[in-house]
Amino acid sequence: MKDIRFALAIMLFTFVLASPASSQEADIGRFDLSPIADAIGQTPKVNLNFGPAMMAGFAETIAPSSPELGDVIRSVAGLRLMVFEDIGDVDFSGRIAETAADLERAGWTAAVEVRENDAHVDIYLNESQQFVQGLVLMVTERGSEAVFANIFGDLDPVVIGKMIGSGEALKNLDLGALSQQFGAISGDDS
Amino acid sequence: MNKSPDSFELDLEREHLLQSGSHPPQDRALAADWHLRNQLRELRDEAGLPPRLRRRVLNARSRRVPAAWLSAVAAALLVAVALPVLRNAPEPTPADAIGAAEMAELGLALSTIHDAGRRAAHLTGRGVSRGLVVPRLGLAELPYADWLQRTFQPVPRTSVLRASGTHPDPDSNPQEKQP
Repeated sequence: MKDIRFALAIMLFTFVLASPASSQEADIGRFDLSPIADAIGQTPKVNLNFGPAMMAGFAETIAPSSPELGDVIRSVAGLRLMVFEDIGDVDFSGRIAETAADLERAGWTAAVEVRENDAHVDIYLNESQQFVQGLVLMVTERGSEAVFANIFGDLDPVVIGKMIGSGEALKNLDLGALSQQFGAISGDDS
Repeated sequence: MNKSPDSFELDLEREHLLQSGSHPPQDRALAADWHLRNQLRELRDEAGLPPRLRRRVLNARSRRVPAAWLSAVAAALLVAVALPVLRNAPEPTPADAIGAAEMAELGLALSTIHDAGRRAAHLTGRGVSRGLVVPRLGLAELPYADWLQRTFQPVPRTSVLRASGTHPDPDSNPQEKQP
């Protein structure tokens, strides 16, 4: 039994050594938002979860028509978005506080924290020297809606700075190209 | 050639004497045989390993190579060989993975994050402008007070954004209403 456990440990160690380090680094900025959804107790109106393969596919699809937007998408290794509407008076501020504490314990930086009446804004960043490796955005307005997003990868600090400073992260990017791509693909499909 | 029963019993007795006797027999030939056998017995004892070492050697011989070790080595080899192959395997092209629905979802995600970012920035700006205390410079008593105030009094950022129409803010800030 002892030998088997030892052998399993060796196998695991070998596997970890053989795994590419880059895939581990890309996941540094990933954060599990599902506990918040559990606390709200509703099915999110929008619930999107894109992994590295999908994001790479998006980047490659968009790049020919909009290289700049393609570059931004390429820097995103994954994206998780949950939008809750008509959340009523559900008080999940405790869960938000716990999430914020979890993020801080994990070494994330609180970039923005606003508490204004029933509106709460939290933006947490996980930064390396060159990139923002993860961003967690939590915007809640009691009685109205709540938006939770986690974006991770090697994100351009300039884009993130625009988002925090003015909310215009994608201002100069051609989002129209995205709809053109959508239209093109729809046309191909039909 | 048949031996008589007496001769057979005599031979047997001699042999027994050779095996068990602690002293050499009287007969010279038998005595030489007895010495030879004793020397051979001593040689055999000397050739033997010490009991502890002998036990270790026997244990080592009887121990089998654990199957788990073989499995671990096989798995390590498999991982080392298969992983680079899998890593270099061609990825599915975007055309295979991305459809219209996925593009629509990406568009929705980006626009939602964009809007949420703007909302966050708006709430943050409002909170910051309320938190800031604009210092009173006491310019009212000076000549050309209006001109000086326009020039030197810091204008809250929200009023600039509202004036330019880029960032409508329904909330009023009392400090912006000063003449």
